[in-house]
Amino acid sequence: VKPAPFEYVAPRSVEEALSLLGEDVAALAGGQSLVPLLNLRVARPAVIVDLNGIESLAGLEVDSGTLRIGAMVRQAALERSAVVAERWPLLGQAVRYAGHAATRSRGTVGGSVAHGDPAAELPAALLALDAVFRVRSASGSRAIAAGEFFLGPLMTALEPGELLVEIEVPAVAVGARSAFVEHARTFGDFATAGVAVVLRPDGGGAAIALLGVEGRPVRARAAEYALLGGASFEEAAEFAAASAGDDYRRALVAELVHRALSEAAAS
Amino acid sequence: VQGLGAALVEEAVFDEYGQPRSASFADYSLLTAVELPPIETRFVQSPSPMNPLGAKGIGEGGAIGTPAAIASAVADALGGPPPDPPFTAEKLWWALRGLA
Repeated sequence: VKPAPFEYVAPRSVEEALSLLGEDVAALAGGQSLVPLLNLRVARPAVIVDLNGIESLAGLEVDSGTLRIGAMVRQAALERSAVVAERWPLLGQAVRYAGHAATRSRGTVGGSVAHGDPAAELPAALLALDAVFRVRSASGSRAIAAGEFFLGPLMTALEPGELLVEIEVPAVAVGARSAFVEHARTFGDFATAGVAVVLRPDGGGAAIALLGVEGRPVRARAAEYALLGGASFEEAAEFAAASAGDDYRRALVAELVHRALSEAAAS
Repeated sequence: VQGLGAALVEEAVFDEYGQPRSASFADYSLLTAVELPPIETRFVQSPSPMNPLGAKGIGEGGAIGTPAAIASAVADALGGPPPDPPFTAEKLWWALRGLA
């Protein structure tokens, strides 16, 4: 199926893009989610604003310890970045599960975040890393914490007229270790469930983010508190899986969380 | 691999009204190169007596033995008849729990 008719605009600057956004307008990043939705006619925007010509959104840099990922940075760039691999390894571990090599060369980090798929890898990893999303509109800008950004399946805190411009990832504690584990029918398919873990050193607990368990990525707070209180990985995993669904889903999530914590501890 | 896919993931699902629920590759799962096991090929020669060349058709040979081999392995592991294929992780988990 081909998409319903739409008007296409390709701005050259963020300001120009912001002047075009609004109700019934879709922003096109890498197109790996939006274009299939257009072709299935699930999405029928009147106007598509193509962000691919805006160079200022494509920067990937470290600024006084914080990783700044421009919204249009390709997933493949994140995957290949040496500084990301060294200082934010969780992002490198997670992005390898995002789609396939071919889709990652087009798909963007910002696109995955703004799309808000509950089974997506990068939103869960960014949630575990306490990332902050920088958002702009024609009338101003704001910063939204990852924990407040994802609202439900394909629903985020982005308002019509707002554009995600940058993702800030704070420095990870020295000595922290991370792991990303997921289960899917086949490798690269949408995850049935997954978990991103940052294990802090010296009994400092862990950040545990789950994907595919609820309608949005969520932190497993009960499990995180349990770990701080001295619980074992097995016990924490049971807490994380408590509301994951039927017996199979609970067993699956508990196993994934246990594996992720053990893998991080052994890395 | 065709046989592996049939035994492990491929399933044409229909809802109660007969509408296909797996009409695209987003819903219908297929194995890819990542799931490919090491494959060793051997030849067993048994010429056909029915024609001068001894030739036989061999199309889709891998799709015939593989599902049976996997189903037999599942039956052996469960100590009883296997569930309906495909043998997904979820189905096998429930089947194993039924034993407990």
